[in-house]
Amino acid sequence: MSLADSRDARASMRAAPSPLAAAAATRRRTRATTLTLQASGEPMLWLTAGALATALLMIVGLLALVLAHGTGTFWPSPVVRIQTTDGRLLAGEVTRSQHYRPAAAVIDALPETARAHARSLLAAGEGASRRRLVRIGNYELTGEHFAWVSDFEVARQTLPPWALVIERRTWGRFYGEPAAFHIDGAPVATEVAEIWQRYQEAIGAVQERWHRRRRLETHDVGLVNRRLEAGRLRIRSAEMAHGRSSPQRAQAESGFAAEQAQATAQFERIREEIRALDVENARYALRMRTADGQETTIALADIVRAYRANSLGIAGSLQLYLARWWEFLTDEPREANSEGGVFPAIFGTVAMTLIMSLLVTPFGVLAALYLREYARGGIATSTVRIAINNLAGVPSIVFGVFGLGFFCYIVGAGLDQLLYAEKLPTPTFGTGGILWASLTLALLTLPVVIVATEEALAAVPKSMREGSYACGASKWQTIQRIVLPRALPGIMTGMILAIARGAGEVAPLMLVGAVKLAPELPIDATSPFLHLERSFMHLGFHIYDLGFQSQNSEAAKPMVFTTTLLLIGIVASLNLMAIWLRARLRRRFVTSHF
Amino acid sequence: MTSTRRHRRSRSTRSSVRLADAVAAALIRVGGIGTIVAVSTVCFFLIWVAAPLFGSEELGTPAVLASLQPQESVVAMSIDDTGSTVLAYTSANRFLLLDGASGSVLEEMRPLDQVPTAHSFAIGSGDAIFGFADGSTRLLQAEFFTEYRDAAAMPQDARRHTTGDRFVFENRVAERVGIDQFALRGARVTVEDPIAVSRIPIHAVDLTAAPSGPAFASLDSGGVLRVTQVSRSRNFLTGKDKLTAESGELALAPVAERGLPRWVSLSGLANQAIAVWKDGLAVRVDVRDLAEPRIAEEIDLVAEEDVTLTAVTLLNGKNTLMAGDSSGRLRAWMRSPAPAMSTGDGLHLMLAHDLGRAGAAVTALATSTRTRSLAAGYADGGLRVFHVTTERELASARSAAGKPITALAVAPADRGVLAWDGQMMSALLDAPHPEASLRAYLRPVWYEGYAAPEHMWQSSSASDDAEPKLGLWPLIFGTLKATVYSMLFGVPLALLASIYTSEFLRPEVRARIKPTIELMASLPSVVLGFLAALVFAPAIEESVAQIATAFFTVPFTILTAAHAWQMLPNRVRSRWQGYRYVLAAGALLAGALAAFGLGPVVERTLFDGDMRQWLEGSSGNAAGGLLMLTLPVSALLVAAAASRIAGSFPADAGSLAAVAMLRFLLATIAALVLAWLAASGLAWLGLDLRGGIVSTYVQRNAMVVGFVMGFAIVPIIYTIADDALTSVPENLRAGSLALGATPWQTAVRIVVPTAASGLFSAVMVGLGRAVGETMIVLMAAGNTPVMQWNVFNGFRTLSANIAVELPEAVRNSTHYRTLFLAALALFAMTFVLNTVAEVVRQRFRKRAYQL
Repeated sequence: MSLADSRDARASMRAAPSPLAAAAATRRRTRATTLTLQASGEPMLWLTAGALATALLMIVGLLALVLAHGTGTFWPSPVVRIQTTDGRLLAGEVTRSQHYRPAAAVIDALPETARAHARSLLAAGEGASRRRLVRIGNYELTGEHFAWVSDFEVARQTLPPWALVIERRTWGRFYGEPAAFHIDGAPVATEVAEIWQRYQEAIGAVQERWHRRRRLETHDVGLVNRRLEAGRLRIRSAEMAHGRSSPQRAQAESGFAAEQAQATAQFERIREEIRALDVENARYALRMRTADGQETTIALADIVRAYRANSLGIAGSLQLYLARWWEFLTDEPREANSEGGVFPAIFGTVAMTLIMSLLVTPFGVLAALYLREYARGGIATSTVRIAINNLAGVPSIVFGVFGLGFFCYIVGAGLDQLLYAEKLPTPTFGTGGILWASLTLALLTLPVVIVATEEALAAVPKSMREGSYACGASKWQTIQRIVLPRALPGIMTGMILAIARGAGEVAPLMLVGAVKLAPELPIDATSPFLHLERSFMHLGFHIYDLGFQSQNSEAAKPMVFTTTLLLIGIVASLNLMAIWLRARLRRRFVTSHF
Repeated sequence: MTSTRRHRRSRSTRSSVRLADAVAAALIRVGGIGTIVAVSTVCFFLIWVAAPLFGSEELGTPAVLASLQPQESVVAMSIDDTGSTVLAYTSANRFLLLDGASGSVLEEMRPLDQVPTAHSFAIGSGDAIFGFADGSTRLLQAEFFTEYRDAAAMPQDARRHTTGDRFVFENRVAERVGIDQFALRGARVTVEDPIAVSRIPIHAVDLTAAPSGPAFASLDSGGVLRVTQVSRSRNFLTGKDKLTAESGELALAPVAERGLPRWVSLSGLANQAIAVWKDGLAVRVDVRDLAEPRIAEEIDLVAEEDVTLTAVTLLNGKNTLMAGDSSGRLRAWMRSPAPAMSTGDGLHLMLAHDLGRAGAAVTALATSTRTRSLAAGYADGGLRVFHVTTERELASARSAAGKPITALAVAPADRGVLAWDGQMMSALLDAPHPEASLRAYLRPVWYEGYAAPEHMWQSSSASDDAEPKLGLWPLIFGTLKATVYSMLFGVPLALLASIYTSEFLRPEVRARIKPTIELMASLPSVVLGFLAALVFAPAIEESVAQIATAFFTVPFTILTAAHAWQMLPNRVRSRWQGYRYVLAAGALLAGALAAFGLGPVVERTLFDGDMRQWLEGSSGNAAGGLLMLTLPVSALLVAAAASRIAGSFPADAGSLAAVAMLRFLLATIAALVLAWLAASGLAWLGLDLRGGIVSTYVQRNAMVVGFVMGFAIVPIIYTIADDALTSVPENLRAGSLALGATPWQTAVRIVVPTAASGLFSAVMVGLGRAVGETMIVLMAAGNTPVMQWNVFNGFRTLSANIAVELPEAVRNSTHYRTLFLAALALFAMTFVLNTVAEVVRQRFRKRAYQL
């Protein structure tokens, strides 16, 4: 009844449209379209799109920044020779430039003649001027590594064709032009091309001798020293076990005396050899003239590399570039880590990560197998699962604290008491070392492996297990032959993710064994080959140390960028490998799906 | 049939299979449980290390060690590091070396030929000074020594002792310390030549081992206070030390009416002397200029009537005056900076700590040589040990005899207390971490040299005497600050981006973009820290104004682009709508460019031409900074108002978009005007952001950390939020769209509310990550433990503090354990956050499944 009524009412309205109602209808329609526009929420939607764009731009920008700086570091730049208006002469590589507003006093300090020119330059730049940071090197002469040069100061700028850049083992780079080539203190060549030729003839042999000398100094002397130290420790342990005036101690001491005599002879021989090499190397020297006319002599043995920066050409530059990369990847650091290579850091990172993954994978898989296959499901298991999940979110520094307190100070100190008592109070295992660092990171990454493995195990269809059981296989046989192979991609992924996380983690390592300069690698050719107690260098820590604690951070910055690029490269390729492996193994196992 | 017979299968499982199964089961059980246990050890180990901080301190019952002749009493005593020998100076003017175990007298020494009228022993060293009736003083050194002797040189019966045994041997206490070595411990007393300071008897002295050499304050019976600095020079011919003394003197005025003061004391740097009368009057003398001592102030240490001071001493470091009175009250007075007071040197002796009242008068005080702990003896034989700085009573005990305790000493390393009440008693003290308590960690504490209680973290300092200040609050504050600023930047970014990704991005694009952002998560944080500290921080420093401007221009250009987009024909829009994020990126870059163009203009008009200078001082108009705060608010208000009146614009559909654009531009202008008015109004009212959330600019600051750490937590929040949004069932979306809702309405009103708990857990996980992040804050936050919300200032977080200080902390020291406590706090914080997130997420999953 009422339904019919209302229908009637509406019908009558439609039948007799009043002007008022028509106006209302139009308004309603416009309002509706306005609302549609609002409802599409385009502005807000664009804000969300903007957020995504921001995130993407940030990561792309960051990677581009690292890539640009990291790859550009080793490309040789030309050496400019600048004469300033106040008569200074300097030469070097331009590292970067920026715009700034010089104070009026700076202009007033310029010589009379240059002032007007500078003012007009400044006026053109609306009061701002470009200034360039020039790496001038020659630290022993100038006391500076860098100098700022403003554009309005420049009177003359040239690219001298014979400007040499010399990378030295001490004092950093040298910029200058060759003045003479000395053999035995007497100039044998004074004409630039001849000097250069003489230099190139001599440098190979000199460097070869230098490397031989270095090997004698570090390796051979180290060997003898280690034998002596072992002898001393034998005496000490005899003393501790039997007393100071015991016959055992006397025996150890007499044995040591013989060894010592032998060692002294050996030392003498090595020293003689080193001296001979030094004498031969000291014969060759390069006399260099700096931009401002000072002359200095550089021993050839002190030169890592010298090149004519302004006449390299593309091929020469490329060759130099690759040589520098090679040096960076394979050589040891020098000049407080700001020059040379990062080989020990790469080695340390890789060794630590390897040991870590050897530790974390079996235990992570065991724990996951237990949780998924053996533990009775229930509140306890799911609590453990949540707890393990949460451990993945615990700050890494907390694991570092645990590592230092537990591994180094308790386990390590205990081991020292038991096994290395004669070395005390110098700790052997009782301080940070590669083993403790690996163990700490293993703990840190364990949740990653457990979670990934568990997911992989859970993803194995029940039907496969049941099929295996139906064929009469035992539980372990099922796990071993059916479940584990199928879960392998997931396990591998977890392991690689753990490695990627471990390789990039620095905070805990600062507490448990990463150092800025390790004298020896944790794995080397002296018995017992694997020195788990040694501290080690790490790429991440290297970045922190160089960028944050280096005295000459401007000079170190390019190195930090390159190291950063390397670290990001390692971590990213590990991650990509995880993705690739997952995809590949999935494809392989997808055929067995039924 | 035949084939079955031929290949007959055994029905039973082979034993090797059984064995393998059992072994595997056992191995997996043991290994699995073991691994899980090992992981959970982390937490228990942290607790185990940190727990002793809160253990209760104990003072053993005093046991009688020795007694002397009836008329003789001990005036001062000390015990050696190992507790094996005790040296006592008695009223009979002799030094006695006692066996620390039995109390038997090993040796008697009488180095002083005159009976002194006053004496003082310096804290921590064996140095002492004696004053005599002829006005002279003599320095004396009483020191414990250890000599080592080979077992072969010891008699047969001594050699049967095993390692660690102690026994009396030739008036020494011997201990076997190794397989063939004995340590013989004794003491020696040497006296220096007299130093004449006065002609009349010395009434009181106080010796201080100042950095410049021994210094002492003396008071003669005429009421003249002298401070003497002694310097030692060695005569190379005779090999003898020669003492030269330099003095300053001042006659104390109150002596005429009140008599002589009972105590004089000299501060640790020998620059202040304090004379204290029994009735509580203290006169502080400024002797920074030795030649001309001046009275700095006179104050009354006892406010109550008929209460007199009964024991006064300076605390270790000799800066705090401890005063015990006849009512048993014990108070600490500190020289604190008080610029408002008209004292001679701007300092004022302030009552900093009140250690409460005991039943009986305080009769003896002794300070620890290691910490700011104090032992007090009372007239009723009670013994109490306090930690003064934290105002804690650590432990108490009472002697059996109940007689007044007249002399007291604290053993080295606070291992025990020696007391004299007619007999010598010793009590073991177990107080390894007296300065640690929850209150000291989290409440302001009044440290020496400060005008009021403060939150402080300063774990080490240049001088040995300075006490460590272990207030965790500044570090917790730093952690919160880092978290808040990075969340402010990271959370909106991540959540908005995840909404766009899950709701408006085509699946194939999404499959590309999501891993890219997730790759950010694997970026080592040390890389971000390095970039933040060495690349971004200097760059940001140059362009603060530009960045502040960008916060407004970027949203503006994006919104303008959105409105412009609406004006495009439908055909174009539907074709390109999958690329809105690319266009938004373009708009964003345009906004950034605009910010860089406008930045200098903004800096000139709002910030007096130089933003950093504007931040520093209170010069310039406060409105500029306030505008930054009022603009977002007014923009929101105007937006709300604009949407209210949206319907009242009658227009045909074609020009609607143009109207919307116009309205948006008008609203922007309205918002700017409103914000400017509001900012000027607030500035006129005297409001100024400077000194609050913005202040002096430091290169490594919270803004840099906020950006970079925000960047670091974006991927994790983004991933979890995106997962939550995607797992909202498709039928909900379909339903909503079928009812006529737009995709945006569906996203905001259906998907986001449904996934709200998932988004919440994403934020929680991000929070946990931000709390514990170490490398970024370590490198980019400057690491100064200040407590200001200033965006342009640094801070120090718990995690960075651990990374900096733990390698140098002495194992098992209070500092070490406190750092473990900090680690535990971090652990607990992140664990709670993650658990909350996990529980919420699981509940959400269940609900989403039911939908």
